[in-house]
Amino acid sequence: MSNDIRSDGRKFDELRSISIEAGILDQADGSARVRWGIHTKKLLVDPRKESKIRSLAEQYYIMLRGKQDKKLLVEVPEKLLPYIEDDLGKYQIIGDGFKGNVAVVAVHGPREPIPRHVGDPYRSVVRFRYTMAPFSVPERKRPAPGRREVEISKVCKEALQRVVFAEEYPMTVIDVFAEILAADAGTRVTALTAASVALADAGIPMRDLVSAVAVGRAFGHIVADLTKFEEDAEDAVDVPMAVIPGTEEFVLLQMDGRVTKKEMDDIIELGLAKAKEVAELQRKALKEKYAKVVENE
Amino acid sequence: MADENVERPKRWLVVPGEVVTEERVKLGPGVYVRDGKVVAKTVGLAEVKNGVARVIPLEGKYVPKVGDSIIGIIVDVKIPGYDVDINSPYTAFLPKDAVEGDVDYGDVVVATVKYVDEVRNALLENASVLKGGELIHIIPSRVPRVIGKNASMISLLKNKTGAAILVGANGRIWIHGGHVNLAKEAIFKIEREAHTSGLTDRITKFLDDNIPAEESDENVE
Repeated sequence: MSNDIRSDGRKFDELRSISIEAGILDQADGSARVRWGIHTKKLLVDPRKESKIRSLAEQYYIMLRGKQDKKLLVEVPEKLLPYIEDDLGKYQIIGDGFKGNVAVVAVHGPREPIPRHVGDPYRSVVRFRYTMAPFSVPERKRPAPGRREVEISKVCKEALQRVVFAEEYPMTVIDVFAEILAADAGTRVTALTAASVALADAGIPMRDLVSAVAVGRAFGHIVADLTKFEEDAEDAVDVPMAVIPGTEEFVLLQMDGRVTKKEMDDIIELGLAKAKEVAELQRKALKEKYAKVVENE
Repeated sequence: MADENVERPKRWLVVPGEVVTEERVKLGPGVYVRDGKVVAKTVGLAEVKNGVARVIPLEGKYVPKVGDSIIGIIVDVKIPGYDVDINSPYTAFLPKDAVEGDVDYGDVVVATVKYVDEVRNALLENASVLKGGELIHIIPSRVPRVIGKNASMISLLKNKTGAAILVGANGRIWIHGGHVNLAKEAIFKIEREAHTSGLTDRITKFLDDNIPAEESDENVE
């Protein structure tokens, strides 16, 4: 593998492409959609190259999609293509693709607490429901919420509860529904990023936005924003985190894997910088919603 | 009506967590202090005027305030009075002696908030039932824009469309008679463009351009 690029052609500290849109749902008080992933090219390649491509696929994020017109259909990250072009021989680009996370978040509230007993007479209660669509992953995901969904809902709820001025709406609940439509590692940070945009879009008073990003280690390097391919590496460490960008306060920090203290320091430092990049995109998305109205005039 | 750009200081769009000013100023609504800086709490228009920093929200739910004139819908009839939906996370109660005549489930009433208790539930007074007309909804935080400075916008709407218009602080607007559809369109336009400046001029132009040809203000039923 080339030494300065990752398995999908990104630099080590580079985020995947993130597009955020605020106010997409009519029925919700606030809503947002986040598409967070890599853009790919679909290629038709000479079938004689199959063994070559299979060996490349062990170190690069290349997806074999079967055959079409007696040729191999291969999906390659856009940024990786220039690096492996020579190994593919003659190929033909037949389309674009997207591999990553898609989250849609709806916020309802503040509204009357139902059931009544969840209401707190001193503050508003945030409820968070994280769900993954059955078609969001390669194998069908059972739609019932399991241990994983309950955990993610809990940590995301606690992250958001920290930023809202809950005492301004006593005896109410703020319901946040996060639906993952496509998943490719880092869905909880995608959901949380979308959720804080949706909360702001609902006009709920907040200390700041919550910006989330996953940083970790894969194939011997500290990398930002791991893909599923990197997460499955032998030495993979995944550290999802959420930050209040204005105060650099951490409201979510989890870890899967083992790291040295030095590596952890690097991960935190990189995560903070990347979360601020995400925050900038979130602010831009919220402002775009209003900029559009002016343009139409 | 003077153009809003001339005398008003600049307003700009902010999102939660953005610094409004680093100067020492008084705190208005929609801002808080973090590390000595004034920071926005909500999506809205920031303004620093006469030593007060504030963010005028663009979204959000209605919270009852004493003295507000609101438009509610009766959702339950009880012996001492009525439960009223006021388009808010909080409920309101209208005692029977605060309203004249018969009130039934589903009636639309205009009322004043008399008292708000410690969990924000409201008690209403001076209610009267609204008969006929049309009821529309806008985002409550954009109501001030529909009313305008010294009620300039609302009187413009009434004059041009010939409709009777009642604006509730909770985002419900009752329109009766006149060019109802034109008034509705104009109000939704104000709601959409609440964050822009020079709105009064644009609405005047919009009403002049779209008013139906025959001047018939007489069909007020």
